[in-house]
Amino acid sequence: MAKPRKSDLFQRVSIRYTIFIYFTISALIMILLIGLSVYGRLTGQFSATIRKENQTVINQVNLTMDSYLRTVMKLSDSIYYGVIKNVDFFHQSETVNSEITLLYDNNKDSVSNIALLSKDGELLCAVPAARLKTGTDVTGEEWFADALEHPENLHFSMPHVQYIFDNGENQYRWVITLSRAVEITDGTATAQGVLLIDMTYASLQYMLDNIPLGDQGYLYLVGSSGELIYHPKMQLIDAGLEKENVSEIYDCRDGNYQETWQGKKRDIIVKTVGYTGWKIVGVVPEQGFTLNEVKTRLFMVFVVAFFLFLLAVINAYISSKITAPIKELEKTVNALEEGDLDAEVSVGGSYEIQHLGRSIGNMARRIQALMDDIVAEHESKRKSEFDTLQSQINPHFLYNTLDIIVWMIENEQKQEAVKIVTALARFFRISLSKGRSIILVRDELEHVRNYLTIQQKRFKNKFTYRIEAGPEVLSLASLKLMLQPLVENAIYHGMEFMDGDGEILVKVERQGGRLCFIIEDNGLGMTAEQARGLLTGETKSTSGKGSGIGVKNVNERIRLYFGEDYGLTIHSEPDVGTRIQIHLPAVPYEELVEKEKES
Amino acid sequence: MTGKENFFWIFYGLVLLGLFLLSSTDLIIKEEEAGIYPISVIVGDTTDDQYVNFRKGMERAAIELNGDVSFITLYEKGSARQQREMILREQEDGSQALIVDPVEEGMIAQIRQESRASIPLILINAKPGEAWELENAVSITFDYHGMGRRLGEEVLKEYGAQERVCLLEAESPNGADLLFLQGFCEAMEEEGGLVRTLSCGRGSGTEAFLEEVAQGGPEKAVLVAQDPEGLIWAAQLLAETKEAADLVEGLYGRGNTVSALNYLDKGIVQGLCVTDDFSAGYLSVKAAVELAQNRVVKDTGFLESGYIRREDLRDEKYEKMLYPIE
Repeated sequence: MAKPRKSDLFQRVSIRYTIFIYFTISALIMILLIGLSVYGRLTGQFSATIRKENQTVINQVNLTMDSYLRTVMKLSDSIYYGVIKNVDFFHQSETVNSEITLLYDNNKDSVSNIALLSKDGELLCAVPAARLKTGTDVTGEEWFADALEHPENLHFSMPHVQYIFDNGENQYRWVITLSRAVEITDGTATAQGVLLIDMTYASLQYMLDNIPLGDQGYLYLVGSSGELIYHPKMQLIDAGLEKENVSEIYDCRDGNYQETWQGKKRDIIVKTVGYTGWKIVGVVPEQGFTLNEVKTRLFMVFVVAFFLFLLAVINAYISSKITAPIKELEKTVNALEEGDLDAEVSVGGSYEIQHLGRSIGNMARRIQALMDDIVAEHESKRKSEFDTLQSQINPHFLYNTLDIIVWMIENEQKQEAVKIVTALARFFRISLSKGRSIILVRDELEHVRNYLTIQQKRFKNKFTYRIEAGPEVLSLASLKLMLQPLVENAIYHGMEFMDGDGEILVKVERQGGRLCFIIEDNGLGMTAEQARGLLTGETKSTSGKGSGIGVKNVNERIRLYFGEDYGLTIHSEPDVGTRIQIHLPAVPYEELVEKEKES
Repeated sequence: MTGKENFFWIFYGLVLLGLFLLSSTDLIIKEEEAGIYPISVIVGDTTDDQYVNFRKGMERAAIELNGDVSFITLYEKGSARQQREMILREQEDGSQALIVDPVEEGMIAQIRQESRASIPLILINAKPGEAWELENAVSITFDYHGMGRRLGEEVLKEYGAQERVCLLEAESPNGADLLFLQGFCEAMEEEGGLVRTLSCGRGSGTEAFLEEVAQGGPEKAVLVAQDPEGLIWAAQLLAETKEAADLVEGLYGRGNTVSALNYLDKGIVQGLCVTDDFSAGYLSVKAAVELAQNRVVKDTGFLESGYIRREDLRDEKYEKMLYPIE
């Protein structure tokens, strides 16, 4: 099925909906644009703030870590430069031991062991008191070798379990060993040795655990060679149960990075701890610093939908306010279209609509005036046409009648001549009837009687006639000169060439609300086609000898005056005769005359 | 307003209401609640000496996954009756999952059948097949049979198939002990190695024990302990009694305790089969929580184990496995 075109759709939609839809779409676009830009800006600012905070946290952790390591390094310096160096160790070992113990006591929260070892791996001093495990060779330990290899440096080992001491406990300690080469004085001789300070791994954990980095962030510590020193899930990573992207990170310089790890985006902050070269790595999953949570997104949709709702309500109000006067105007135009030119034209709304309303009002009034003019003109035309029809009396009829009268006077038929002249006079008096179109039925019958009297004489009594009318119809109204043309038609068409005695019957009767005139003759008759031709004018009603007012004209006059429901009907059969019926409304004469006067 | 307009506004209102409920309330989209899952761990021992690393892993998982773990020991080691009572008690007390180190094979299936309970169950140190037969249960275990075989092979490699390998049997062997022994004996038999089982156990006294060891002949004996407790007992005896040390050339067994590792470090124990108990503990609680959440738990297969000698103690791999960072 073909889809309706957009323009067709809008053609079917009211102006109110069109305004509403356009306003609402515009509002939606605006809300989306504003919403997206605000959302983007907020998300950006939120992310930037979180990143800044995370950076601050990492910097703070770095400072703490740096401070912690410096404390341990200072402890190492204090032990070396304050206690061991330039002291005859073998003669003052007790003093050395007690001073180291004092320093240990001050730092025992973060220090597990302090030990002084000779270059050969012999334990010279240990705090707290401990001995080396039997068979332990510390010279093979990495921290020991590093210290002797680079005596100028302090060395931090990776986290390890401290195995070398036999402390008789069924416990183990994870430590990070700080070692350095020291010079041990024995009398006048000096020898190299190694000072060991074991930092407890727990103290490092304490510093790095539970650092808040966004919602699900964490940090870990990587050694300078990429080994994990601390991770919240260190044990699980070592066991292969968790993974961390250490290999790619430890090469990175200090700064912020973004990476995708195990399908999730995350922010990485790298900060190097001074001296050790260790790197603190902050990991913040993207969802910890963006507003991308499902509920947040839905809330944004809700806010957009809510504002759109408010704007739609306002749009609906505005569109109905604008279009209400147009709608009223449309109703008026519909009424005008249906012919009610008197309908009140609503004038309201904005200037343009008011102007339109006034214009339509003016137009309706102008149409009304024009239509009145047309009706008046039509009436006038009808009247003049009517008058013209009435005045169409054949002069030939008058000449023939006067000829008969002359003939009668010459043949001394004075009485007959008087009778004809009287009939002719009455005929003309009724024909004039003071110019009125409507006369009494009585007068119309009188008129046709006078006519028949004259014609009977003309045709030497070739036919007889009867006029029948009850008294109830005589005072009703009839159209003037209505019967005469029909009787004329009966004489000239039916009687003139007839062999036997002709008979003409004129009868008037009331049939309910109708008045029925019947003109019946036993003349030659005619075919149905000829009868129809009489009404349409195709068949000439007379041979040119009659009054000249044809059957067609009578019918038209009746219809013009009384309407299409009234008029003539003709029933005729050849050699049998013709019956013409005239139907008029049964209206009292006075009533119709009054109405005529009013119009 | 027309019917269509009314429908539009009502529909829009309902959409707004729906969006509000979705975005600003917990009626439809619920915030992930940090549910706490009570989990009971019932072992077959009277102490947690053998479960130190296991507990560390367990606690780590409990912190991460909001498990509330109760570690329950028995009054009598290896008592199936007590363990059964404990299981039933914990089930009734509302544990959402049980982690059980069964003292007897098939016991758990029987308890389940009788109690008609089907709360999530994690079997540790049991045959994997035992969990397969149970509904809503998984197995977290090591290849004890393979460990026994490995130890057998190592002993054979060190001493050959001579008749001086003495087996110190467990007093109340559990499933793991039996599998370990089975694997060890299989490896020995395959190479024609003879194993002499000592009839004097830990309860017989030192003298009787040493006497029986000495009956093996002039050559020093090689002791193999079936269970970790036996290994510690023997190591302690060797460390404290010169006569014992003179009679025994090597001590082997399995165990993860710091004591066992210390004996290995001191050279009293020559070879040790070790297991990654931290991972076992972690995975047990993780599986328990996942089953309590009606999630599917993947089969972990056998967890990592190995055979170590003294020099392997410093190996980074074993260091972190045997001395887990808390």
